[in-house]
Amino acid sequence: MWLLKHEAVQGSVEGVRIEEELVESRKDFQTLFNLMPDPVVIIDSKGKFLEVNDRVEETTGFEKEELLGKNFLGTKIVTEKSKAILVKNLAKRMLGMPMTPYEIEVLTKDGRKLPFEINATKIEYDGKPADLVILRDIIQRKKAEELYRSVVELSPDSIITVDMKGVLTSCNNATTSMLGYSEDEMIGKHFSKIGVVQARDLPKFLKLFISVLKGKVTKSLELTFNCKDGTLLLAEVHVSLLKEGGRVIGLQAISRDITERKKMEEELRQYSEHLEELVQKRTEDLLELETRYSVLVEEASDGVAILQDERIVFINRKLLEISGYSRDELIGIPFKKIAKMVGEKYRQSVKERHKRRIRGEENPATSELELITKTGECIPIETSSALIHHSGLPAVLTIVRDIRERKRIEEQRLRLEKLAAVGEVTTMVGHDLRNPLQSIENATYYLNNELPHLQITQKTMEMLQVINDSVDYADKIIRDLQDLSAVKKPTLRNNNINTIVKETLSQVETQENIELITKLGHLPEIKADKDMIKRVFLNLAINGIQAIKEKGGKLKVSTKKTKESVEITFKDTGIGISKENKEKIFTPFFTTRAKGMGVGLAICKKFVESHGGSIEVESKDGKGSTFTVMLPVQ
Amino acid sequence: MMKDKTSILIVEDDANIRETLETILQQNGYNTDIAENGREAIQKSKAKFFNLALLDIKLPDMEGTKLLITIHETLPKMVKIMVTGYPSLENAVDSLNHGADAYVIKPFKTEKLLELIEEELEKQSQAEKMTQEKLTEWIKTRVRKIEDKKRAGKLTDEKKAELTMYT
Repeated sequence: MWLLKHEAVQGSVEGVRIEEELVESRKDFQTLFNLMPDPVVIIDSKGKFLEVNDRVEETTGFEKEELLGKNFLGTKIVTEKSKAILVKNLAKRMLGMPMTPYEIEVLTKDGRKLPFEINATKIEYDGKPADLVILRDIIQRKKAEELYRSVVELSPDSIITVDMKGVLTSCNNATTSMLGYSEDEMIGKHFSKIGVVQARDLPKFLKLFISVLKGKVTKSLELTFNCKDGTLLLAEVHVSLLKEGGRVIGLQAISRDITERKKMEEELRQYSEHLEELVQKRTEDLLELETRYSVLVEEASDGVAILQDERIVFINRKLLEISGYSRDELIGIPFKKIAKMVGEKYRQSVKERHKRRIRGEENPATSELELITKTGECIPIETSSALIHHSGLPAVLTIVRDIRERKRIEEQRLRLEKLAAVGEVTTMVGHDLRNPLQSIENATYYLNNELPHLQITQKTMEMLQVINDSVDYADKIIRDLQDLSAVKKPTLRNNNINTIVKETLSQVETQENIELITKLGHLPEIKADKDMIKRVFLNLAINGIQAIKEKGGKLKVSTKKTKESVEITFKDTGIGISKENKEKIFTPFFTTRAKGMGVGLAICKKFVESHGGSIEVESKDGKGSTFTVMLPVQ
Repeated sequence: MMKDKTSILIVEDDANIRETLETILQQNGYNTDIAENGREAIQKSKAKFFNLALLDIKLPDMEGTKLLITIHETLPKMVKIMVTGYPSLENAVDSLNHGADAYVIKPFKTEKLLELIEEELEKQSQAEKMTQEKLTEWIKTRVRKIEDKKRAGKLTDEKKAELTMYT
């Protein structure tokens, strides 16, 4: 506005008052001129600086005096390239052609190049045409533009601009690489004609454009683009207004390739669905497992107990069966009490192992100990324990195995091993003893035959008898050892056991103080080896007599038929067998007598068992014993 | 059976048993000879006739069973009694399959052995008698048949051949 006023003022040059006003006006002009935020110069039609404001000094570093009165072509305030532009444009303006602002490069005194936008207006200065040139510093705008460009170019997303008609005006690198079309194939064409947007998506696009143009905040759109190579591309499209100088000049669209993301989302969805399935299945499995596990544990053939906080929290059926206690009697009882259910000599080690386990230290895998049942019986058991989680809390799981049967088999095996060893010794010793014994036997036989023809004393006769008896006894020892060690199968024939009993007893020598009673029941014939069974009966009878020999008494031999077997009992009223010896009497070489090796009953057991039968003893110390032989009826 | 005509061979490596057995058998009226080992036993059995042999199952130079087999081939009719120790009972039983007539297990009662010997010798003489009687009977039958057929006078060549085979 002030320029117009100035022009008007320049128009009238009359009178002193007017002159004074003019001076005043010039002062005002200078003040205003220097207050301008941009550098401003006035040059004459030939390019000579007429006025330069303070901003020019500040921006370029040149002082007013260095410029005023000089032609800009003769200064170094602009680059040579800019000088050419300026000359051209100055001429155009002087011819009255309209000018839009244009850019030049200003050189500072210290040589820096600064971009400026020139905005010039033709004015009258001192009655002559002149140019008022306003320079606008566009370095910030330049920087912003560069930044914008680099952001756009580096963006992995496609960024395009369209004008108000929908014609593509720009696109970035990502666009070409994403869609496969070159810039030339796209720029200048209507966005719908390129072949990227599918026809069915066009209404959606238009709707979106309209909403954007109406200034509405729009959501992104998911669309499928056709790429040049025929592949499909799933894109997420954001559309915004494109403004220039506050004016809407078009639209800007940013498209992100979400094919991968969608694929991953889909995979993720499938995974999560599958995961749910898996979780479901796993839960079912676990439930099933738990059910199976609890059934398994409950029905296990070994005892199982779980200890938590030093107390029994679980106990299975088998362990109740082994221990003889009820569940109520055991659940919740403290460790101290549990330890008391263990045989005394094992208690200390059980406590130590428990402590170690609680501390998380290693323990032997299994340990053998004794369990005291409710009835006070000591049962050999084998235990193994492990730390587990029960109901989410740490606990000790103990497996208790009843090893009575195993112990029994072990003992049996030991017995058999002992017998095998005996067998070997017997073979060696027996063979060597046999020949001298045979010679003595033969020799005494001869002597006995010769006796009637000889003159000998009674003492000699007695001595010969001693030799005879000793040979008989030595024979018996060897025979017993042989019987014990040899594997001898019975020769089974039909026999009446009563007959064998009678025959046996007729061979037994008794004394006056011994009463021999027989009570024979009706028996069926059974398959038996007569020689073996006779040996058994003989041994039992002799044993019975031995037991009552000193004090006198009764030996009662009876037979009877039971459901599946024939039972023969030898009951004496003798000294009896102590409880601890009772278990050992069938063991070879166990004897309480001074004479004899202790193989008699072992042979009985062996022979009876070889018939598939069994032999048992009932006895009360000091009140006699009863041996019962049971032979199966086939 | 007359004992003095009966001879027994004792095959036994143990000198004491050999001697006592010999004494007893002689005391009981048998003729005896002794062999210490298998080789001697074979020699003597070939040179001389024995009604019976007592064979120890364990000999220094060969197994009694082997001796038994060898002797049995040449003297099938001689009574052979195996004398065995208990551990070789199986051998003893096995020997029965190879021609032994009986076995005794050491230590045995001398009296039992004598009974066994007598029994076996009795069987032997019975068998001999049987064999002789049978043979006589058989010959008698055949002769009678031939004579019958001769009388019938219908002997064909074929029948002649058959007869030749029989005789």
